[in-house]
Amino acid sequence: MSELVQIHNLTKVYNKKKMALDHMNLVIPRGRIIGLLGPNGSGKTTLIKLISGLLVPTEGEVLINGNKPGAVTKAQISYLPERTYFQSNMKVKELIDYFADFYGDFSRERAKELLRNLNIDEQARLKTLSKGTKEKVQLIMVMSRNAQLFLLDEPIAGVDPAARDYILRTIITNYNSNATILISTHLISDIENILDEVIFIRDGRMILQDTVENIRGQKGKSVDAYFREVFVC
Amino acid sequence: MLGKLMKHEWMSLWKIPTLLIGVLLIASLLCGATFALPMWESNWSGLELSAVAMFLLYYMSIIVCSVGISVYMAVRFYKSMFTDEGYLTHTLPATSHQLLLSKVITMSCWNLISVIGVVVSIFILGGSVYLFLMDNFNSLGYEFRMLMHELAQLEELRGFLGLMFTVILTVIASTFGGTMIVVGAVSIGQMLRKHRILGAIGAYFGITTVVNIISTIVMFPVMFRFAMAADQSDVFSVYNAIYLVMSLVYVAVGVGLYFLSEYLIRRQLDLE
Repeated sequence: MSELVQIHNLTKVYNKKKMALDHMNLVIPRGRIIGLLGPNGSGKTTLIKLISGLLVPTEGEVLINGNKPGAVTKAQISYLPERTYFQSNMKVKELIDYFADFYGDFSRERAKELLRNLNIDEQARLKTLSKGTKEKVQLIMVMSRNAQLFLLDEPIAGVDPAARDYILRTIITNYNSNATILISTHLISDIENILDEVIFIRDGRMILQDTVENIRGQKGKSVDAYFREVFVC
Repeated sequence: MLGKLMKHEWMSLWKIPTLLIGVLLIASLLCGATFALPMWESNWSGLELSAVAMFLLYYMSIIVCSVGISVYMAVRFYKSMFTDEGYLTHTLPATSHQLLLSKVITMSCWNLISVIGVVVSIFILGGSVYLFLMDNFNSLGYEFRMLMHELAQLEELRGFLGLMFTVILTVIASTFGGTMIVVGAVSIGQMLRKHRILGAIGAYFGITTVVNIISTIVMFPVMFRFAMAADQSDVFSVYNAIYLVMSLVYVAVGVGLYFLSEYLIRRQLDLE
């Protein structure tokens, strides 16, 4: 089965008023780095949360390796939210222990190596770190897993350009080729070079799913330029 | 998985309750130590005032310890399940039952430990009073021993011990029921789009009122039977029945709220 995620007729309505996802159908294959692109409020974060099991669909279903979101799929997904989500009085070292305890696919060695490379002290408490450093720690924890699906929601939004390069290199070099990475971001030009595919969504609907190669070949422009054309205000 | 969850839950919770219980025990020692002061031999009012101040400190410590631990548990439950920290909690490879059970068991244990802490502090204070006032009331120790001796001769002692057992059972049931009322209230509060904390507080008072009404209704036949009985001398069995009924109410409410909370977390979770 080459499909990793199958999404059928997925709908999410918040507060019985705001439709964030509108009967979306989507297949996410294995072994790809996919950009999930769309303007603010288009439903990117909602889609990621539904796949990770943080939200319950109003209608439709999500299947990961044939399973609905639950304990089994959560062991296969490594999720980075767009916010700082660790308990602030934890030490970085305690986070490593936490992840190692709960995720069988977590590599302590990889986490420690990445922390060393970014000069992050394992003994530091998260509340003493800057926002950017906290985000780096989060990304390191998430990317130190050998998961089948990585869901990265705005992974580079809060860090400086130099750190962005390191983070993107980290993403590319730290995932196994059978895994899929779904990255949601506005900073398309920064990540365009690492993407295999893109998914454009608008108003909760998928309007395009194609390879970066096809877009460049057929449209004769970069994904960033094409995105600006499609989503022109 | 449940064991791992409980281990990390315990590690994230133990510091504040331990501190509060420690403060309570120190306050009970300090309060007890004031009885060593020569209050009955001195005319200086400062001694009596310091004893009163210590009693107030002890009293405040009991309130801060029991209420503080409950409030701290409620806040930690809310934060770890329904705020940004929930993004980590709900992406762990665990079922909603495992997540909820790990929190309920740990919270109930701490609520029970806080009750034990209060009881121990009362014993420390009582022990101190006995120790330091023996000289002033030489007969106190003797009278206490006589009382225990006479109690041991009574047939009611068996009833008394039975009642103690039922009281302990009720304390355990009420810590579980009390924990579940907090957990249930916080979970129900999350159903609101806005003002979720206010919703949780409202739900807490709502549930508590309903539990009190249920307790009164369930208790009524027991009290009625006692009032109608020809022999009203067996006080212990009446209290036994009352406490047993209370335990059953707490357990029933706790179990009901557990399944409601689990359903809300599994089916209605909408992390912002």
